[in-house]
Amino acid sequence: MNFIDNYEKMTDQQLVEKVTKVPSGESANEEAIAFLLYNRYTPLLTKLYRYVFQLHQGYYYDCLGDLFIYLKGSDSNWNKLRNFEWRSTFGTWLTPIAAHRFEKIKPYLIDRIPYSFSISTGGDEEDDSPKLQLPEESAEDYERNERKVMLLEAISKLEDEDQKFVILKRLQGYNSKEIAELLQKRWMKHGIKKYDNDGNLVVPSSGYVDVRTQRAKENLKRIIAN
Amino acid sequence: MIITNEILASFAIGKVSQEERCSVRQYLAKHPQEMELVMMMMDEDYELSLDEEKESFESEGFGCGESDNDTSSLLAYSAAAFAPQKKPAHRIIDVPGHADKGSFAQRLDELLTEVDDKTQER
Repeated sequence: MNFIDNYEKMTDQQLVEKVTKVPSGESANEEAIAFLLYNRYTPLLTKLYRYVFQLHQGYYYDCLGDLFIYLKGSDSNWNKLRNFEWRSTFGTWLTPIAAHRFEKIKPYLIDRIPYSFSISTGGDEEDDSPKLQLPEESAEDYERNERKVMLLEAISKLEDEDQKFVILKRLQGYNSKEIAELLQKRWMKHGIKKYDNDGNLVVPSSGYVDVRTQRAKENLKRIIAN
Repeated sequence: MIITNEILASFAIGKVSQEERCSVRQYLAKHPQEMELVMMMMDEDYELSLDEEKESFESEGFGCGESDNDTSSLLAYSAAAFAPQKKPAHRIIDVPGHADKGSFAQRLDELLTEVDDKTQER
């Protein structure tokens, strides 16, 4: 896609400020937000789209259109972005918002139900959280869920980045061989080179991933216990 | 406390106050379907994909820089999002991956069991 301005070198915050901090007399540069959604965050948004829509393809740009309008708000004031406090990265913040929006419009897109579009003007996004009506959970289920939350927190505290990576990818359903391929790409992305005791360059293998997974589990056990 | 997306995102990266942490824990225990999103928020390498997946993405027309659309048509995507459109009915493709490997909830449950087993081994 072509954009009038060159946004590549601008930070996410600078791009967001194109609509949230507009000098008086000027109009908001909505193209900057379009760049974020249609260009910079394509990898994230396509992944979320696949997560929500799974086998149903062909609605991706509908989802992006909805997300754009949602962020803009019914009063075109970009309140969602204005209320973002930058406690996390833009991508981390965008993840639940996009997933919830995609979940919300999925039945309208797939089942072709006429969409009655309305946007909350409030600053919070909670109205879009797809809270399912779940059956009443037993105390055991709740306790088990609490343990899972503790496990998630422990994963975020893993200091070894490879261990964290293999656990997260395993939770995403990848097998050891696939994780090895992804890990190799991660090393390339970050310019990481590792050598064995003989000075040979290490190439991640299934075995390497399995060893990291086992060590990660031991560390998770330790973190949870503390 | 209302759990906003901002608080959830902050929780995922460990930047929450103790009060927020407790509230998010309770919230996630009551809404376990949100745990997968928290896991995804932790993944800083979300853009990495298998060669097989990448080919599939590209064949579906995802990705940036693939379109000849100019800016006006780009912005028109937004305005046109809810206009009537002709679409292929429920296109089904083969997604590389993970349908045969259970759900995230199952995988998280298995991991918890494995970690708990390790605790008992100790």
